[in-house]
Amino acid sequence: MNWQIIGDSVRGASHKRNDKPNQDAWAFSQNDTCTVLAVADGHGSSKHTHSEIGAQLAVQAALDLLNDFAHADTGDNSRQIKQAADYLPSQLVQAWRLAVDVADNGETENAKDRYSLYGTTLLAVLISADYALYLQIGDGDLLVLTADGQTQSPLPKNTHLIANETYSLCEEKAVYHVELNLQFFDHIPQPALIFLATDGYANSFTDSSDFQQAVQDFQQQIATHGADKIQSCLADWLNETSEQGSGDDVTVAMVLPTVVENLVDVPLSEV
Amino acid sequence: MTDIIKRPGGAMANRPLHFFWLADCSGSMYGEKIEQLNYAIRNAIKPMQDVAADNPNAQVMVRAIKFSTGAQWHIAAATPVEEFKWDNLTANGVTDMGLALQLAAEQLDVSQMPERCLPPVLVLVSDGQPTDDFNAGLAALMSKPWGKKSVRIGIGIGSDVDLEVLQKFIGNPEVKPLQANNAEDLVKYIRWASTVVLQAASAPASQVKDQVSTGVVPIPQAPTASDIDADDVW
Amino acid sequence: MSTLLQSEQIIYGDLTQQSYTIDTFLGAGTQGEVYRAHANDKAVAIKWYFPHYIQNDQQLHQRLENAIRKGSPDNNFLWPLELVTQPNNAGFGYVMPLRAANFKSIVDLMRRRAEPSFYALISACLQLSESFLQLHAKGLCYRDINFNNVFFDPDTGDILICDNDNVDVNGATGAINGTPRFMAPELVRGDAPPNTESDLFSLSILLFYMLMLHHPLEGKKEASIRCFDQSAMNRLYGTEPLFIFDPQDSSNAPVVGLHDNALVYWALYPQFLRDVFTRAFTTGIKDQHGRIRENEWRVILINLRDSLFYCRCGGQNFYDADTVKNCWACNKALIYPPRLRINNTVVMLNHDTKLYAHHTDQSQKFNFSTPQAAVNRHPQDPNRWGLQNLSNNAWTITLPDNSVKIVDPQRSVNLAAGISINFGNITAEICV
Repeated sequence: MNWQIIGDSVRGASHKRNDKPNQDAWAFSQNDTCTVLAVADGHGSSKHTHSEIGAQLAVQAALDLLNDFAHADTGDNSRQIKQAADYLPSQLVQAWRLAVDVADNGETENAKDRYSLYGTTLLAVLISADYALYLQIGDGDLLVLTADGQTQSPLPKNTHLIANETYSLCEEKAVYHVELNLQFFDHIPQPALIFLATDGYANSFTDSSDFQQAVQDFQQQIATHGADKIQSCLADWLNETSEQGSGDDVTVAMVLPTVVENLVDVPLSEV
Repeated sequence: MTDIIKRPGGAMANRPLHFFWLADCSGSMYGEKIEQLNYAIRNAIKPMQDVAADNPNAQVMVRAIKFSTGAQWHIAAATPVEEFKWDNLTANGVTDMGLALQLAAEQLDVSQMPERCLPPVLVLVSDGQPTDDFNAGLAALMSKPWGKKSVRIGIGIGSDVDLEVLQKFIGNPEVKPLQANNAEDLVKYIRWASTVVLQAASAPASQVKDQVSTGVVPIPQAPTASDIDADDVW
Repeated sequence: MSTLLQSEQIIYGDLTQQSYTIDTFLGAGTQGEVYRAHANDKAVAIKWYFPHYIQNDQQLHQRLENAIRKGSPDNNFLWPLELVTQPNNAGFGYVMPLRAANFKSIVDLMRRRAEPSFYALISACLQLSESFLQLHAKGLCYRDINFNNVFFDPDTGDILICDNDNVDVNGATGAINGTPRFMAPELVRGDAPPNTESDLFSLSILLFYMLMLHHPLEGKKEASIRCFDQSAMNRLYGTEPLFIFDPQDSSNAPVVGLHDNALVYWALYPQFLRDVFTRAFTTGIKDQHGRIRENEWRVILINLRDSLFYCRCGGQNFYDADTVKNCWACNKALIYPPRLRINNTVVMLNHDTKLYAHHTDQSQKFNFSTPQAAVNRHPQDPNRWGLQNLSNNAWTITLPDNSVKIVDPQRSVNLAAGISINFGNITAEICV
């Protein structure tokens, strides 16, 4: 099956007012073996001064790592693949730290302080012919829409943290807070849509059912108007979301199967 | 030049350490319990041999007594631990624990023991109450100098065991009898007695502060019944 | 068998967030269990503590963190590299380098399962002294020197020191007091806590064990004890410690038939080694200040190694300037090879002797990295032996007739009596 990606990231309304950069980052990669998509949200508080770079490094680290994972010769059976996936949290944290070390170029001597400057969350998904792999550290939303229109969360929602606290790649024990789920398509059907968003997006909805509805609407709109059309409108929608909602940076990215039917030209409604 | 000749002399001087199993084979041990005990002792042979091999201070010699209606030698000859094998016990009869102690006492007589030794180790395993004169047996054991100097460990199987009797046998308030309520605990305790205690009696390991320090030799802490569960720690 | 960790289980490094996969159980001690594990393709060892031990040793975590931060004193320590933990488990352990298979325990040496040459054995003693010097120089105290914590390569004399989790700043209160037979008498009696000076006592015991295969305090007094229990040990090692070769008091002399190793080896070693052990276990037993420090051991052990030579029978003997001995192996009169007198020391010039910067350069004491000279044979005349210059500098030699010659690098000088060699800032004389 072929997969297509739609996504965009906008600088938050409050960030524009305070002259702060967009601290979110997102990216994807596609080849014959797999599709990988990642979204990161660099921490906003003043002690994480390079978090926009940290977020970019996290996204890149995830793409490289998951792409390598899909191409690695770990064996065919699901047990071997699962065992290999057990190493991903540690590999991810180490790859990100290494990238930060390079980016920091000796500026910050204390390692703990250094990683903190670049602190970020990360959401990522890898889709191959046989499985989907979901990975997350820190807040943000990752939802899967099934063929029959249900929404599911493949990763546990963390309930240990209150208010605006989040787990982060920059923590000392980051590896313990990396959530991972590997779903083989011979047991769990392929998703109709995978939706990744930084917390700025979900925070603009009053409750989670509204948010789930928005995800379903996205799929509907894409089916009706085509991916290109939605992609071209996405930035405007996200800007509106940020202005009316949290004022935070907002990033949304989706993976869905490529649809080849002819599309009807129906006026767009708000998502 | 000729080949280099080995350095002179022999292995480091050491002393024998006599290790006695005293196993309850009464009717109440019939079935699972006796099989669990057989399994636990067989399971402990290799670790016991390993500990002995790594201990240059001792030559470990093993014997075993079984008691039910009467007491008999199960392994009569003091057997070097490297050659120690365990033939399975069967259960039937009453619990003549006192006679077992008498039997051990005979062998711990000065006339029977080598001139120079490490403290002997006696491990008593039982699931019930003695049916004979336990006190007379204990008195006989304690009347021998080597009996008095011995390190004694008591392991109870199941909930019917008379822990008071085992405590009397141990004779050191700081060392408690171990109560094994399942096969896994029994394996753990038997292993502990045949490795950690064996080691302590000959070449005590690193001295940890606050460990049991009275008695013939310091006895390290026994494993707890569910040592692995992290929830027990904090 | 139930172990704390299972094979294929993953645990994580606190510092690097590295994942370590448990391979196999290697062994258990009183504090915890040791496993072989790997990270990527690199094999390591992991020690994982018993929950009850963590409870008893409250400073353990902090102590390990300090040790990890400070780093290993030298390459001979299997030093903790980082702490390892598991999600949802309060337990912890640490990662250390894996011991290679060519390393044997000192127990193997005591049981004669490892048979090093005298050269390798003395090299191992020397490395031990050097490593403990490095550790003590860092302000640290080992606290538990004993033969279960040291491993050595019987071929080379390379050593490894493990169980470094008791190491702490000298003077800190810790959980471990030492191992019986190795503890200093003041520790056995409970008069003092472990410190650098008690480490030095334990080191002397370990060196004596390694060189003599016997304990220096186990003589007549030990022989008279029937049951060797705790109170016997306290007396022998704590309240009435007496050296078996105490020159003033023979009441604890070795007993023939029971303590033969001590008798055999004591006679075999040169007087200067006997003297230093005598000081270690007479004045050094009572007075902490009288203990032999590592630097003195280094000098003594190098001299001891330099005094090794071969009897015609192949037996290795020690040159003793003070006495003439017969070979211990064949009991024939010993024939000395040529030797080099450097200041107050003598280096035997055997067929395989090499000299290092330690011997040839005043400013490079203890440098044994590259040979600077080697005994060799004349290429045309196998009966002529020489000393080849392997250094980069020419030597100046003075012959008995006071004539002076230059020995360029790679050239050799005849091993003939009365020749003196000037290596640069050291002059040595060949004796035959």
